[in-house]
Amino acid sequence: MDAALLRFLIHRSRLGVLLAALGLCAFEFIMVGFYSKARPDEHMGPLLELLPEPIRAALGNDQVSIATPSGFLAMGFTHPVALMLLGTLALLTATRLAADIESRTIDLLLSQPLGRGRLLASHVAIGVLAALLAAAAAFAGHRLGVAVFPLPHEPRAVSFALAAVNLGLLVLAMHALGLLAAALSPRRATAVGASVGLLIFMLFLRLAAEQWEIFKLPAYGSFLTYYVPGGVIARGALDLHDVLVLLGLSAAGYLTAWGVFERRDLT
Amino acid sequence: MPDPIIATHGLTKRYGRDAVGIDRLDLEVRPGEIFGFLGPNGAGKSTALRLLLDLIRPTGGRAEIFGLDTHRESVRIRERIGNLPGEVEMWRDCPGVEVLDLFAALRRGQAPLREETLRRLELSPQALTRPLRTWSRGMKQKLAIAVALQHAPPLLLLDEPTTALDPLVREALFTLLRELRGRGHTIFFSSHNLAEVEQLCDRVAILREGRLVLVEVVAALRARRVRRIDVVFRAEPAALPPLPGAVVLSRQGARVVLRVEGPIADLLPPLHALGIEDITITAPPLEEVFLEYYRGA
Repeated sequence: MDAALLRFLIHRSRLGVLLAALGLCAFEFIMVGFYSKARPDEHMGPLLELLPEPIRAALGNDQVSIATPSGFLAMGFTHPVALMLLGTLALLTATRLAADIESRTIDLLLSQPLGRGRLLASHVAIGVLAALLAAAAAFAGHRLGVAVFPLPHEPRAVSFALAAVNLGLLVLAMHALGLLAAALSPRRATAVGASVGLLIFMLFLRLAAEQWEIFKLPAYGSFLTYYVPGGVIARGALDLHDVLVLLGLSAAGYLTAWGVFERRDLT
Repeated sequence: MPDPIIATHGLTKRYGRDAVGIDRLDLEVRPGEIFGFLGPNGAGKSTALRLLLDLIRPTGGRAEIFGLDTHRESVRIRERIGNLPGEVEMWRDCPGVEVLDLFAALRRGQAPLREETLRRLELSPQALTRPLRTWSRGMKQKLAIAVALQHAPPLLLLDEPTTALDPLVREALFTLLRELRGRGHTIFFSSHNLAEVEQLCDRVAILREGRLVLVEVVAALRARRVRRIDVVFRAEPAALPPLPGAVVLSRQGARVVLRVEGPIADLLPPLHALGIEDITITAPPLEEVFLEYYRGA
């Protein structure tokens, strides 16, 4: 990793990343506001509890009552808007490498005393920072909402902090996938397209596994199977298995990206 | 003879079964010279440069720079080179000064030639503060040259450096490159423009369809070039004496047009003996020499 390059990569990505992080923060804040205003526990609670389990699972609420503040707010971590912002944050940073290959800026970068491995390590560091930022933004938005809007009872901060860690690990895994696609691609659009396609497929697997037995086994290959903020909030603890799998998938993605990038022609 | 700065041994790059980027390139670039690397677009010049920089990997042969293997020891090599890629689009939202600062920072802040290069290429400090998306192509090219030169590398690899430069800046660049040669820097100058190479380089290699056609001292190349001699004698000569190295292209009364290959010193005395009224010697541009080789003549 190179400090100068890392500073530069942060500088280049700052606007998009900050906007995505602020969006996530604002979304979690709004979710608290919405709960406070709509009070689904009073008005919709019984109705929500009647939802079939697969649908509640799809909403990320199979393990915690959707009518409680914790259950409803956990949904804010798995809501499509939140997932889209997380994907944006991860892929925006991960596919920079492909943009540099496409524009041939990589020729200038790799004319410096900088190995391919060090260049890639700087991108991995950006992924770690993006994951930390996403977790911090989601947690901050949630806590800010809890501080501002009145709730029947305050959700446990520790539980949501742990859910935010789970969210950060998901961003890291998505970043690793994006970086692998970037290391393989000649163009940024190809890398983004491939990553988005794979993420949508993983989401499909995760949702399909809730409905059909046949998808249970392939769903183990989906990052999203190990992203269970509802479960984390219900238990008040992270599942070590989920943490290790997400970390392992990230590491595997980064190592494969390194292997590919070290060997390929940069054309 | 000192060790070459760049040496390639059968360097080959193929794309798939049929497409040839570079075919068995054997080349040596000596310390302190400006080495011209000539060829039309698509001849393989950029491929060769990208192989030297380890951006692409050879399918055969090997290359060394400073005696170091370009693949295994590429980072050590890069500590001592400056590179100007042929086609590069730098980050559009960055001001020029940030680009220069980044590349200097990657070399632990070394930029002893920055101010001089910017001054000579007429890149003003005001312009450097503006994002690159507002820059013209020529200004971006100047910035890329400054990136390559600012750390005063012992070896400069320049791929079509005069692209988009106006004639005055081009001349300023050539002056700067000559001065750098005078200070012991080695310059590998890739171009498709023979006039530039003739003006600047000590030696030249001509590349055609990925193959090295010729490596020659520029002065020798010039000496080998074909000339056209248009002579008007005081009176129509009855017969022409033997004219070494010359071919008569046309003869009309007292006017004779000759084509001469090589030195003309031996040719002038017999012509003079016939009584010259007027003589015009046209030295075709090096371009013709290049085209001859390019056409496989």
